[in-house]
Order: sequence, then C-alpha cells, then structure tokens
Amino acid sequence: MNCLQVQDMLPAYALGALDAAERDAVESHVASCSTCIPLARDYLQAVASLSHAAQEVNPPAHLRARILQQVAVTPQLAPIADLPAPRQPQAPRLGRPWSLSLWAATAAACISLVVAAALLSAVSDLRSQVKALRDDNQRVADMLDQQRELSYTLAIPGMETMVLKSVQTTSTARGMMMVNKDRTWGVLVSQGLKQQPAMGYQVWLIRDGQRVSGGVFTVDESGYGMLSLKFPQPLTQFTAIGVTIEPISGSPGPTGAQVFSAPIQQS
Amino acid sequence: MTHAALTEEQLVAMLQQGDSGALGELYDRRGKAVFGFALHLLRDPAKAEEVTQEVFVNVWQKARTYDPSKGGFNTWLMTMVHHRAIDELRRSQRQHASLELAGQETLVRDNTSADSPADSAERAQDAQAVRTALETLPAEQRSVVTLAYYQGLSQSEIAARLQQPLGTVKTRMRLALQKLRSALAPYQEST
Repeated sequence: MNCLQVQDMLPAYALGALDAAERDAVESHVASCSTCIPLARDYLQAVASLSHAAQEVNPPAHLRARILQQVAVTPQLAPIADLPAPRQPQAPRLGRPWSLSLWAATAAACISLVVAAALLSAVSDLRSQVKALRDDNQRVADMLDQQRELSYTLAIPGMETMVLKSVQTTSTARGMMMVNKDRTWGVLVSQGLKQQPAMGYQVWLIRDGQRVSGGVFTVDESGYGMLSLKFPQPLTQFTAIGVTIEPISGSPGPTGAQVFSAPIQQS
Repeated sequence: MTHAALTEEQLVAMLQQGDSGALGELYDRRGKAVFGFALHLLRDPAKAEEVTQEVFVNVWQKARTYDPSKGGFNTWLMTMVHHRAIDELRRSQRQHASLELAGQETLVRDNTSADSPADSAERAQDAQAVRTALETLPAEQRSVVTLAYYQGLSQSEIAARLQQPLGTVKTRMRLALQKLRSALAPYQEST
C-alpha cells in the first residue's frame, strides 16, 4: 500500500471505520513512513478527543489484579527497531565457468556495478517523481476539500462577511471572514499573503487588550489560505480581529509582524 | 520514589523497561476513562471489562513498540480502546442497540467515578465541548462521524446506509476531522 492510498484511508482509520485487514495494512505502513506519521497523528488526536464525551466509570474492583496477573505471564514485544530486518532476497550464486579468465570476470563485475548504479539512480529519480506527484495530488485534494467547505459556508443563510484589511498599505494581500448568524463560527479566507517557510498565519481575537488565538493557517504558492474558526465566545464579545506571522505550531501570544486587522461590529 | 509520584511520561518509560508496577499506576490513573469509554461504546459492563483488560495487557505487551514522537500516550491508549470496542461491537452484531450521540448518560450510574468536584466539572466541560464540536459540524459530516465512531460502521457500510458514493463518505470524514481537530484543539494531547 502506498502513501496516497494510506492517506486516503487515514480519516476512516482514525474513526475506526476500516475492517481489521485494512487497519493492519495502514498501521504497518504508518509505522515506518515519515510522511504519513504526522498526518495519522493529527487525525488520531482529533478522534481521541471524542472519547471525552464518555463518563469515567470505576471498573470492577477485581479487574486490576486480574490484569496484573495476566501481565505477569505475558512477555513484552521487542521494539520495532530491534525486530529482525526483513531478509533481503539473495542473488542466485552463479558457478564461474572454469574457462573464464580472471580479467573477463573482473570486467563483467565492473560492468554489472555500473549498470546497477545507473539502475539505482534511475529508481531513485522515479521515486522522487512519484513522491512529487503524490504531494501534488494531495494538494489538489486539499484544495478541493476547501472549495467544497467554502461553497457549503456560502450557501448557509444569514452568513455575514467581514473584510480584513492589510496592515501594510503597499501590500496587495486581502482577507475576508464569513461569520454565521449567531457569530459562533466563521471561515477566514486570505489572498496574496506570502508563503513563509515553517511559518503560518495566526488569527487573534482581541478584547480589552487580551488576545485569544483563533487558530493558525498556511497559504499556498498563490497566497491563498483558509481557516475554519470556532469562536470561544460569540464574536460580538470581542472588539477586533488580527492576524500575525507565527510559527506553524502557533504562539501563546502575538510575536510576529501583523498582516491583517479589522474591528468587529457589535450589531 | 513511588510510582504515584511519577509523571505519565516517566511511567511509560518504566513500562518500556518492563516495570509492571508502572502499568498498575497507569491503570489507576486511566482505568476509569478506559472502562467508561468502553462501556459508553458497548453498553455492556461485561464486555467493557473484557476490553479494558485486553487493552491494558496490550499496553504492556506493546509498550516497547510505542513511540511518543508518533502521538501522545492517551491518544495511543484511547485509539486502542476504540478499535477493540468497535471490533467487539461488530462481532456481537449489536449495532441496532448501539449508541446515540456522544455525551449521553452511561448505563451504570451508581458506579461512576467518585473524584473531586473540580475533576467532575472539568470532565463535564470536556464532554460539553465534544457535544458542541459535533453539533457544529454540518449534518452530513456529523452523521458519518457518528455512524463510524459511535456505531462502529465501516466506511463501506456507511456509504451503503447513506446511499452515497464511498468517495463522498471519505471526503466527509476528512472534512469533519479537520473541523473537529480545530474545535477540540484545547482538549488534544500535545506531542
């Protein structure tokens, strides 16, 4: 199973909507794929939060002892790094004809090495190309998802629109936020923002000089970005909204340059 | 130093060294959440007990394969509980009697955890946040999450039930999780 197939299945995997064989295949791939690990982690974290809906209940008193009894006779599995590596298929041994002279054998070996190196290089190039194509495919899929979400948002009756002004007058960047009638959630869309390596744009909801994070978004090559916001309180409880450049993981308070700001209408 | 004084990260590290006492302490801390969640999904105390036992034995068995860089311990633990409970749910073919939306009362009300009022308030707040996050989802996204997560249907079964293409179900799941991730960010484990 390749990355693209696995990534397509990750939401269902996180939600437990795969059958056991599919789940094993996804887990087996994710265990050793640095590309898929962070995606799987994000989905699993989101889903694990849903378990908070359940009330904590004291298990039966005898269960602890029973578990520890079973543990006492159950060996631990070795870490993945200690597991024996898969055996590499060995090339069949060819008997060297007694009549072949040593120089001919050496020349043949050299040619084989050159051919093998060329093949390895070609395979490496192909892998890079395939990875680039997968990344492109994922970007297109993400954009499509965003467009669908935006279409859905725009179709909701009573949505209001706020314009976010660029702080720098010379900038062509624009921002817009659509907010639902109750002002409890919204969707922010940006255009013309500069793509920042390892950095994102963090939204701040401002009230009495205090800033509450509304989330972080990144932009594509064209400067387009989108973020769904769930406001901790109705937006009318805040006086302004701002956007600053921050690390992609977000900051507890604004640290970078401000790009957008807008007052919040109270009516 | 007793196990009770250790952080969860330290306990997991000791578990990886083969210390079964660390498992006992993790059970003391997480057992109520695990059993409560299994009960919430299965609505059967005997099966919830079975799942809780299997999960903690699995935690012991697979402790050395757990890599904190791939996700927090609680995520790992609760994912295991969910997967095991869903397997059980499917096996016993009790989906018709399964769950309603998250946050509803569990069956065993007289056996609930007796923690401090502050802990109870915090849990109630968490549960409310999950309900709110689910309610905020568009109905078609909420339904795929509910059918998958709380009722144990596979994505193909959901597509058949909703009479939608499998691709549509996958897209709805992806969009729903993106929104839940954002809405429930304060309740997620940092890694």
